[in-house]
Amino acid sequence: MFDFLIATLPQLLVTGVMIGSIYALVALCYYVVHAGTGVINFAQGDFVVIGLAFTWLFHVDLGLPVVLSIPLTILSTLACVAVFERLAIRPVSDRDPMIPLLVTLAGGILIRSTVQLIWGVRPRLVPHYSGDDPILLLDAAILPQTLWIVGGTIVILGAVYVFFKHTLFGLSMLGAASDREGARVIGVNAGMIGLYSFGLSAMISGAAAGVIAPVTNADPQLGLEFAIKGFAGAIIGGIEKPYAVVIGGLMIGLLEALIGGLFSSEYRNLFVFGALMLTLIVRPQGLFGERT
Amino acid sequence: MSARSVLLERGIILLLPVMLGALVMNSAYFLTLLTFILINGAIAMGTCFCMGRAGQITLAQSGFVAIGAYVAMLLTLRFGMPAGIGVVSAVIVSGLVGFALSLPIMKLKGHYLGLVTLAFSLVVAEVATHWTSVTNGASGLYGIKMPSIPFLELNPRYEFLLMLTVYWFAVYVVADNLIRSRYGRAMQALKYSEWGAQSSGIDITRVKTEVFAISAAMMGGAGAFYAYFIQYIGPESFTLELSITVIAMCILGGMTDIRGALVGSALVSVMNEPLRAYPQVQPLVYALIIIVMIIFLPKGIVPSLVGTFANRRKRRRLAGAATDAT
Amino acid sequence: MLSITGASKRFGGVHAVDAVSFEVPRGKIVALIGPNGAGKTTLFNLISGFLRCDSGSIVFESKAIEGLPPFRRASHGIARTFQHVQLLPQSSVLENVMVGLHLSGRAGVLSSVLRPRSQRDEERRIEEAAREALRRGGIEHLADETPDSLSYGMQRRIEVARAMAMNPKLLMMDEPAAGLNDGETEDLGRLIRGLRDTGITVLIVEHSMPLVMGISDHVVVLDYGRKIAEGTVDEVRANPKVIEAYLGVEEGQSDA
Repeated sequence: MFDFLIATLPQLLVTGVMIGSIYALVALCYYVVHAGTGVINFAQGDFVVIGLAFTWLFHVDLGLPVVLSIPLTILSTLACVAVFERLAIRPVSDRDPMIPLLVTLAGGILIRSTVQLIWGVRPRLVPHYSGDDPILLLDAAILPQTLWIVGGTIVILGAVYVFFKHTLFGLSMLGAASDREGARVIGVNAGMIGLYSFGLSAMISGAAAGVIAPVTNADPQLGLEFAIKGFAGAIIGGIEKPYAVVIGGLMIGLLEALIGGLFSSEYRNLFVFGALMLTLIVRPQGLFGERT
Repeated sequence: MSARSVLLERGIILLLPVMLGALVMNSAYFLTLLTFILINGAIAMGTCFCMGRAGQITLAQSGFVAIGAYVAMLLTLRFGMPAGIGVVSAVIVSGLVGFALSLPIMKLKGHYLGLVTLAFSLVVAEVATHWTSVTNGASGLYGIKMPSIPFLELNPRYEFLLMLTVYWFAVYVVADNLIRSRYGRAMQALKYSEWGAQSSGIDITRVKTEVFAISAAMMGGAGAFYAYFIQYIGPESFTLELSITVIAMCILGGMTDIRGALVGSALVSVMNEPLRAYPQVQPLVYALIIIVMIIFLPKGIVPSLVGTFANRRKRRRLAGAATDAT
Repeated sequence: MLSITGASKRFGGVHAVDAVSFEVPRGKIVALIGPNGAGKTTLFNLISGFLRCDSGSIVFESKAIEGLPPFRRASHGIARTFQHVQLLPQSSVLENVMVGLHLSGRAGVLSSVLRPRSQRDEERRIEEAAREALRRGGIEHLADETPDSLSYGMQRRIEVARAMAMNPKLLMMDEPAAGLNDGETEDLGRLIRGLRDTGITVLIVEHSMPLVMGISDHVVVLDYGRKIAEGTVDEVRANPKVIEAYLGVEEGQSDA
């Protein structure tokens, strides 16, 4: 088994980083929404599905080049999510946090079903952006799309970082996150913070969808899987800190790849959900979080 | 409520499925619908008991229903146990698992509790799918016969309905008796103010654990009946959607009133029927129900009606007192 | 009756309560005062059990209670009201007060389901005792109302009635005058004095100087987590350390 491990490790690591990047981005979205509103947004995975649908629409159906389809996807996802937030989330945002959580769970189902209704259940194929000849590096076959995904993730993370640390808007959001009451007092518009948080998560989801579409294809059924795995990453890392959720997402991806490669893909989910449950029980603040 | 009106209300509730079932005895379709209303009703009552009355959020419905179903199915299929043993064992095992699960999570608040129960449901579904030696994995388990009452020779589905009615009614009485007692007041205090409850001498950790275990037991029993009715169970029967559907029933009927579970389960099960031809639309409808109800009628149907009648009575009483005074 | 010795509580690096010691003599009204952030509420929570002391001891009626959870302290005879009223909004006032009688009953899950004679008798007794508590509180006419339709002052009285239903030896009140106007505060003062006259010991945390000065037998003053003064109302009022601690705040208080 040890030889097997060494032989396949590079490949597993590559897969793990690729999947982990996806989960890391979804996890980041959980952080953004939770930081701004205190809500756990279980529709997050389905926001990505919206992005996947738009990616297919713009890049495959309308034939637009990637450099156009990705920004259009981001904007379209933002528009859809904004409508969702105003109609379904805002009216219940001042209630006990479990209520919006239920609403996002239901909302995710709503989005998923709507997409399936419009589209059917089967995924729509999206071709790889740079061809699908794998690049061989150190015993690992790396698909060019993987580079898109990892590269895209780094760009997105970088953009979010710059936004939070170097723009007034981002800084005030971060401030509002660490002290929601205080933010309200100094005039940060409480009514809009929800829209901004959900909106930012929508843009991240749209961008993520833009780069992962060729690997996952536009598959409406992925919503729940992304939502739960991304959520697991956010909780295990520690939902109060942006870097923690990203690391958490990466860890989940690596864990999945390793368990799948070394044991059997059967137990992947069991490990992830089990780890999630254990973390919530034993250390709800996550690996990097501080006990409140 | 006076003792007499309680008895009357309970008599009506008990007789409803019995009479309705007799009315539709010739239609397998309606008997099946009624059966599902009762099964869903039991799960919904467990949910209202835990969430609506004690404030403990739970998404663990699919997990406990699955446990109950598998326990009952396995006992009958592999060990030849009669259905009675199956149901009782399902109730006990689910209750014990609920108890064990609640112990470490009692300190969690609000949505973290809900999240653990969600993770629990996911884990149970995974175990059901992958523990093939016991659960037969995705192929599921089948091969039992629908249980029947020994001496009666009625329509077998109606006999099953009668047995289910006994369980369903028992769940109702247990829940209602607990709610309208010192224990129920402790549950309410726990829901609205943990600190207030504690300063009144209530051991909230113990109440939380017991409530969770009881609601798990109720759901487990419903799962057993489900197994005996469909005579086939597989992991796909117990997805997160089941939990969400049941929550939709409680939100529609009213989370805070145990009768809300009855109304909600009936309404949603009936609403489900025309949608059966369009399985894609079903989850959409449940999701819409949840969202619309939460926004526009968060208390649910039964509590809103009860509240309206109570207000009307109060206004009439005050008006009467005013006219007496003049 | 209640001895606090060297109670301390730290949050991170901050000493919210720092080695505070004082006694609450039986049958007296003791007020805990101090400027904002002085640690009064933290100390209150330490005494009622919602926070654990880092060090120090709390002895009630010769029993050490600092390790007990709040519900056990309640069974020793300590009742508490809260700054933000903790009532059941959807239940009747009567039921709310019946919650306070939880400890006088014993019915558990099994009894409540099966309803043997003993459980039904107990329920009747609890309801009677609750009505009596409402009568003593002068609010029996509200028995069937729900708290969410009543004024804040009324809700306070309901919470007091619930606490009194426990027949406590010590009643702890957390800012009972918060949100009340002058007239209501006077009524409150009368109510508390009346309770003391029936033999109950009262410990209150309060910002409202008129209430504190008007009813307290003994005052303990905190500032920055430490006890800086203690004594009768007049002694404390004249204490230069107390005046200094409140400097600037007192002006604002007297305008309120």
